[in-house]
Amino acid sequence: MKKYTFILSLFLAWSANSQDLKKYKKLYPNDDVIRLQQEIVLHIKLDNGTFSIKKDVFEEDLYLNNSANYNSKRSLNYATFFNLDTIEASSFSPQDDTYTENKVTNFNKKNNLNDSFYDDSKELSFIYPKLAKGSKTQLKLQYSIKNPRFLNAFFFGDFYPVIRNKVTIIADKDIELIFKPFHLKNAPKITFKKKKKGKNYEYTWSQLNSEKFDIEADAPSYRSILPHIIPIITSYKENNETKKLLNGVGGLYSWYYSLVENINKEDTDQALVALVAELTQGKTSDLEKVKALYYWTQKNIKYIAFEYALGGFIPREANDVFQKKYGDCKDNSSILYKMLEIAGLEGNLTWIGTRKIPYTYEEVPTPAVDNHMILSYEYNNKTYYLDATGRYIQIDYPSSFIQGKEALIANGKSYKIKKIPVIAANLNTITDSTYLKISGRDIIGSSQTKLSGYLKNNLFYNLENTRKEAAVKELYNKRFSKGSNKFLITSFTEENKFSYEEDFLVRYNFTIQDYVQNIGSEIFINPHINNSILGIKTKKDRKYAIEFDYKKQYSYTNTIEIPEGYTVSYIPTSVSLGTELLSVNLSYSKVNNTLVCQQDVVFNFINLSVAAQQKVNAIIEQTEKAFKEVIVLQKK
Amino acid sequence: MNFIKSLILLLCITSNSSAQTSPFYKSYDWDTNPNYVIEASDKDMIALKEKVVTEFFFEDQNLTEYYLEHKVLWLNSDDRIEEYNKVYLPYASNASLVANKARVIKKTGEIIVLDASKILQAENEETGSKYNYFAFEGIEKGSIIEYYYVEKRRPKYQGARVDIESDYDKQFVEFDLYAPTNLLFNFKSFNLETAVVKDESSTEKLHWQFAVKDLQGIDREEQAPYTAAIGYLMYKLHKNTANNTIITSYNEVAQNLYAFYYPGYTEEENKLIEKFALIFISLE
Repeated sequence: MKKYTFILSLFLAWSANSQDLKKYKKLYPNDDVIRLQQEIVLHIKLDNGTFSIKKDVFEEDLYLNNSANYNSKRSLNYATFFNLDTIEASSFSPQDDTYTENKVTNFNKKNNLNDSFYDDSKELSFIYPKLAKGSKTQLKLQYSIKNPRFLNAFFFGDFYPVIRNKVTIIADKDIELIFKPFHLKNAPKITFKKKKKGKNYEYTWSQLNSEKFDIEADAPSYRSILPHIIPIITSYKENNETKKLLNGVGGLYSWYYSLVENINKEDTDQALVALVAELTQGKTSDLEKVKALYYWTQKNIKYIAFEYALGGFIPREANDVFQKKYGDCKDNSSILYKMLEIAGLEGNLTWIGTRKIPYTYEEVPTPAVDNHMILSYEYNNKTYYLDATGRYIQIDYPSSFIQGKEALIANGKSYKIKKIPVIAANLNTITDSTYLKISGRDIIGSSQTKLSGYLKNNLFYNLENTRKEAAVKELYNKRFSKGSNKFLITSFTEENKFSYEEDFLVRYNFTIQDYVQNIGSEIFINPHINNSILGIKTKKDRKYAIEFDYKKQYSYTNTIEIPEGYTVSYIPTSVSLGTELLSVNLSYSKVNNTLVCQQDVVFNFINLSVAAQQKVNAIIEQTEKAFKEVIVLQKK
Repeated sequence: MNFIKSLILLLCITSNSSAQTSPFYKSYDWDTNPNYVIEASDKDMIALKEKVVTEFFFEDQNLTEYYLEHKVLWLNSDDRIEEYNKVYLPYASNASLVANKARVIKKTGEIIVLDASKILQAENEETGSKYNYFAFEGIEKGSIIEYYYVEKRRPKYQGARVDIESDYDKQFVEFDLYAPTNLLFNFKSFNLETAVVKDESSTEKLHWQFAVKDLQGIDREEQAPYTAAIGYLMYKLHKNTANNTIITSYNEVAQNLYAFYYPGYTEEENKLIEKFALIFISLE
């Protein structure tokens, strides 16, 4: 109650001031909305070993221009472990020297069906009435956090300016808390105070005038950029005895283990046993067996997510997944675990945070560190990361979105942490061999393009729902585009389509109209018909790193037939550019009556810092210049 | 809205005689021993059967509609399985689903009927919609999924559309409409060679029917007017023969629109107009 009195008085003082708009418009001329106040109070009570956690949130926003009403609709998400208990919302319309309050009375609930097929997340939405330039809004919320492992991060910066930001944690003195800071150097000074109040400790962080953070395409997740603090309850006292909670990775793992230790104890479905026998029959090595089981699971168990309460953490029984033929990442891992076990092999359940989550297990040993489960399999001292939620993933590749991340691998009551490798560029390749014939101003060509690794997988995903031949041709016109937008494939054949192990090969004939310049007795032709590399250049004023799905390598061999009666009068000089991040090699040579133009590009990164972007951009700029060079053929 | 209410009342008063029969859906069921034949097995999916039956029915003096949709789809690619393995059935909050069954028929002939407890419910207060939704269990490449549901809803009779063609091939498509003997419906088919015909043998209810075989899927081409190009049916309640009233006509539409665009003035507004007129006159 005291807190609200404080907030109320603060609010009255602020709302009475109709100069706010003028003042903040001057300070933030380019912003639509600013947060005047944000206060979060987390109450963590402990009663005989039972936690009671409430989170009070207060937010006050000021709208600086006529786009205010675009913000009228607000939606809040909540779920079983994070229940929204109370809500009060109002907008305040400026009138003369004061504000008139418009209370929100209509709140609409809906089941959130967007993320998972079935989960407990709900959305509450409402409309702030009469929002206009100079309006303010106020929102008061109270949440119950039902599990002490799920304390959320507190942010000290956002995608809008925040004028006053305060976070208070009031926790029973018997609760041991630690606070993990991230990117606080990006934020204005944060004042921290800790004091004892009765049987509680009160921790307070306050901050003034945090500038807004920009949103940039393909930037790492907001958790990699915004300043924030993650509170973690490491232990607590119950009857004078210390009980561990999230005391390091061990604490997290022992909770995870308690959720999975009792699964797959029922009698195995005999049809599953028979299937495993059939799939592994004749396989000579354990790895071959695992491969057969892994590919079957990818092909046959469809991804449907059920995330209801603890169901979001506990894998379903393998029998159940087998009969339903669908499941989420945990269920896929569960059936694969069981299938390996039936085959006399051992896989291990493995927790992983995808690349959206930037923390290591040591940094944040809480459920906030991961969001995915796979199965690990050890063979000849190599770990294979089997993610059966996708399709076409070869056994040597992890799914692309977990590359470089830590894996928490179950090993009975203990665990191992391993780093998932980033797949090398030479395993994700486009190898293209093209023969070009000049016909007047047009090019008539034939190509064979071979794809491997993630590049192959992505094309397969696109091909899956491209059903008619004309649509497939259109897709290849885009994917294999050469020279100009007049590139048109006339016919094609495919080899190893939808193969897990073999490279995908497409052979095609094509034309590029009006590509060649004929002036007098000379023919000018630009041999750089593959220029997609130029697209990775980033803006000079970019603020954040940029992320890519995988490393990759392109190799294009373009062989141009010298027309009868012509000789080569100019070929560009070979170029070799590059750093360890990006290398570009262009070479040109005359072989009999042809010119062979070779282009090799290696993209050796999945993440480019701002400094790295500058280096890469410099190479791209040099490549742009090199790409302007043409071949000149002279009539004999 | 008042117009619709009074219309329903009008229909009720004059239609007691037809309330004796039972709605069709009570005797409707899927085939207990299905024997579907797939005619072109090189396709990625085929609708073996798609059936819509709608019945306008007097119940407790009110006209209500029972709308049944029954689909039998053969799924033969990963992509199509993922497209159709989940079903969402939205219905208005004042409607209800009175039947909802789903099953998978495997290539081996094994049938997995979805337990009613696995049909989930969701609600969206904002749109006033409710959903029944479920995931089929046990689908493999080449399995058949079959489901039907019956929605009891406020009758939609002032122009409703039933799509006959889709982006996949269909072996058999049917549409039936039942109505009390005093309610005459009109039908029109678009982009189809077959028309809806009246079943003259039906005596207790009026019955119109439509059936076609072997429809080719229509590609969803970029920027093509797909919705206008596919085959579909439209129907409306034309006349109540009990009192010889035309129910849905341009005349009715025009009156509705007029009332919407030119509402009368409220008493308060009339007073203000009067006041304004007096001031205006006094100025003269």
